[in-house]
Amino acid sequence: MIFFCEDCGEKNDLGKENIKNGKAVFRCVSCQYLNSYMVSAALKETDILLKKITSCPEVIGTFLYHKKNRVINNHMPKMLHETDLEILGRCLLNSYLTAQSLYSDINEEMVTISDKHITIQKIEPDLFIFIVSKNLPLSETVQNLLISLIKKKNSNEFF
Amino acid sequence: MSFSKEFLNIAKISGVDRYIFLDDQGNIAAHDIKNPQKASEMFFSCNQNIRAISSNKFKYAIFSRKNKKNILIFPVGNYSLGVIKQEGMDTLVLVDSISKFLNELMHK
Repeated sequence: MIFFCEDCGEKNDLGKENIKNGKAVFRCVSCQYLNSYMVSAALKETDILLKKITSCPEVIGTFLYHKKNRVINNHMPKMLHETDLEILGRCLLNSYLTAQSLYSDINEEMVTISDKHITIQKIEPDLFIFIVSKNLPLSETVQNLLISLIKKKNSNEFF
Repeated sequence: MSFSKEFLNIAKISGVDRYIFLDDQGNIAAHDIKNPQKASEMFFSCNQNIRAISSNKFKYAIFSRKNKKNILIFPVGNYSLGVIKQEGMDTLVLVDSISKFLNELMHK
């Protein structure tokens, strides 16, 4: 899981061994600051919802993309490198934000490349979910899980 | 690929509210859209960003809007097509109609 340094804001990729008694304890890879803070239950719930979406038969993978901190929760097939996802996230988010600058009521982007469909939705001001699927439209199950994820965000903070 | 006047028949497809064709430099080849200059910049930039992922496998993009007048983008050879959908039309049905229309023109 990704955690951010409280001192410099750097992204740190932590394993379960860094989480003890509900606390994330780690030394930042960038500034060496010793972080020790409570892990939000919302983070776990988000991960569970993402896993549920990813397990739907039409879904190939999902990831969360933060405007500044980039890919932060990756449930994509392992054959895709994080740099591939960074490019995918950056290019599609740029197109989403460019379109929204002219048509402010845009609330979803769907892009078809080859036989894959990528759906992008905003789940908080700087955070977007990317769902890669085999077909469109997304099933009712996926759409309901997506609504749950957005509602969850409205009642909790992820970070 | 050269721009044919037959492309203008896009306006006759059921569900197309407005359209804009742009060349590979972002210049407007044809349109019936409001505020064409701003729209051309937006459509061109979106198209370029998506093509940066895969220039030859990009098929279309849909931007869903609260007012249901969704925005569609299609690559058409060196050109790109931007469409604003009519409110009551099913988006994927319109995508299918436009894809068939473009495919027929490209293979003439």
